Amino acid sequence: MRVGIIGGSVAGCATAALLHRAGHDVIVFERSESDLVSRGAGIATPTAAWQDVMVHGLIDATLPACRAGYFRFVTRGSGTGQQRWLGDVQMSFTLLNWAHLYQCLRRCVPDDLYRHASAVELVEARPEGTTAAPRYRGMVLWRGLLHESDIGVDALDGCDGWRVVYQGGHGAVYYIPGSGRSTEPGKRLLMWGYYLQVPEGALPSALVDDHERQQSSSVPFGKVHPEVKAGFESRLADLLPSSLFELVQQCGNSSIQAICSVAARSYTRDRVCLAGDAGAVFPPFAGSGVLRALANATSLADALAGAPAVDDGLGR
Amino acid sequence: MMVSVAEQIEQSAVFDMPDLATMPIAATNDWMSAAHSGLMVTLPDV
Repeated sequence: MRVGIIGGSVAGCATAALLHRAGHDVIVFERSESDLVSRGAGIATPTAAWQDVMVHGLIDATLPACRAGYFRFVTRGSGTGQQRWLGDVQMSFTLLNWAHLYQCLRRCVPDDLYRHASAVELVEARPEGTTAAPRYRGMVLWRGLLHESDIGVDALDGCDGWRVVYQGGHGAVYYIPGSGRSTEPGKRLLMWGYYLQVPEGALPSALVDDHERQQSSSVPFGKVHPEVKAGFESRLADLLPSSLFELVQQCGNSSIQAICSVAARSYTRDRVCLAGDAGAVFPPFAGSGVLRALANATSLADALAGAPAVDDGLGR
Repeated sequence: MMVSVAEQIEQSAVFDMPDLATMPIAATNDWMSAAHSGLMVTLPDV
């Protein structure tokens, strides 16, 4: 079967790798001219769910990962500004660097099957087709990355991850493997992410990047407008424990993602199949977007492998 | 279905998050236990 895959990120690479492995004739069309390594940051997935993904063989134990056996919950102490311990919750999480995951999947797709700078202009729609538009959920996720070596102290006080709660929002801070794929203390990256409520009318101004360009749904890492950063900082100043707020102030590499969601009514029609973000946009809670992207890819490959004909497989 | 559940969790965690900073320990312990039902939670002494 000849397969054209539009989009060469996590779902695209995973689908391409599995279908190529199954003997199909695959081409990936990726509109970006360069590698996508800077598109994501940290991914925290429940370890049990991650082990399910590894069973399919796309990802093995060589993918660097940090582990968290528990998360420490803190809030800002009233009147003190210091962190107030709320409790520790036993949760086994696998903490990944998005760039490493992308590179791992990208390596599974031969270079001659992956076309950079190839934007698909049109996928022909039938009259009975539908449009599923993502709906803004009234909040953004502001994330930042810091090199652990630049912080100087153990920001998490010996823990692998903190969850931070504050009135009207919450966030997480945890370590992920560093750019050298190291999981050693001192060589990791520290990722922070905080949810902030932003009314729909104010969203466009939050999504203006540092070159005054209007972005539609997210501002990439390193492109956040200084005035937007300052505005978000002023909101978090009285919400975060002071030690965590200092990390936000120190960070020069952050991104903003408007939280949207949508789910297509059907993932297949004729010979067109949706996978990953093309089919459903999840809130980025617990790494569910990446898990869904990989699950979609493996489901498609399994359905086609067990079907007498392509149309039967897509109908499953 | 999964989108709906994930949405509800995420919406609630933002829009319904109480001001735990001003709560006494007994109240935050109740909130932590309810929010993480089924998980092992270590809480501060009251």
